[in-house]
Amino acid sequence: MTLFEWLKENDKSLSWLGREVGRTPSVMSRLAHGHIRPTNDVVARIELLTRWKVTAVDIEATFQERRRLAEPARAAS
Amino acid sequence: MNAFGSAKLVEARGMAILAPFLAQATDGTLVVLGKGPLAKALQHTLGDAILRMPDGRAWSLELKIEERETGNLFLESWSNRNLNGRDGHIARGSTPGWFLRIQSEVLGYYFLDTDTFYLIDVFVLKRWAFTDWNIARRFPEKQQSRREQPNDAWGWCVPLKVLEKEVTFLRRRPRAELEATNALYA
Repeated sequence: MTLFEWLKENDKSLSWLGREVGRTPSVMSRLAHGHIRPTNDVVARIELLTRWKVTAVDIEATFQERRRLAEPARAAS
Repeated sequence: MNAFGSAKLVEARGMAILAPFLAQATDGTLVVLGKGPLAKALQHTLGDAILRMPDGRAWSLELKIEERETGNLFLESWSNRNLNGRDGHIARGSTPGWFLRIQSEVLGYYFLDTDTFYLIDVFVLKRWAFTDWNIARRFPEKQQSRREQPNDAWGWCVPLKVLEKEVTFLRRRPRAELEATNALYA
């Protein structure tokens, strides 16, 4: 499950997640969109908060997917 | 992140549970010494964390976190024995393991899969281990093989049953105890 799917399903916001994890909403947004790869501390906290519905594997998959999508754009420029 | 269960991630998963647990269980304040320019120097003498109790007393803690409980504790004798090649040994020598160097007052050993946290008095444990080299005489020294390990780490695998009988420890269930008070989840 992606982080966005979990937030929607549980009626939670990125701001709420940021408060719980100790990061700004902007960082959480970049993380949820796969723009950044979070530290292990943040991954572990997200796993706990979501009761392992969102795991390190899900977070890494989002990051890799974003990277894959960005490749053609990067190559073209 | 190169693996789902990488050692660093396992450690982070454990700390995400242990940090709130230790603070809640003791009413104390936990200071984890993992980051910052002084971290290495502080960890060398104090261990991984300091727990300040409500009465002002501070306890130094060495924390070990493993993914799976096997019935043993791995007490590291060599962090890098480094005896596989002459040149490497001449260049870097050998590095004693944490169990030989540990100065903390309490060793906390946490297993994620069983949610079991063992708390052991380090002085009592070391006196038991090193009086007449009790530990080396009774338990074979083994190379660490459980997870990716760039160093040539060695240690003694000591059954928890033996430690319970001969050293004694406290056993807690951090995740379950936090869940019971709804302190862990959203």
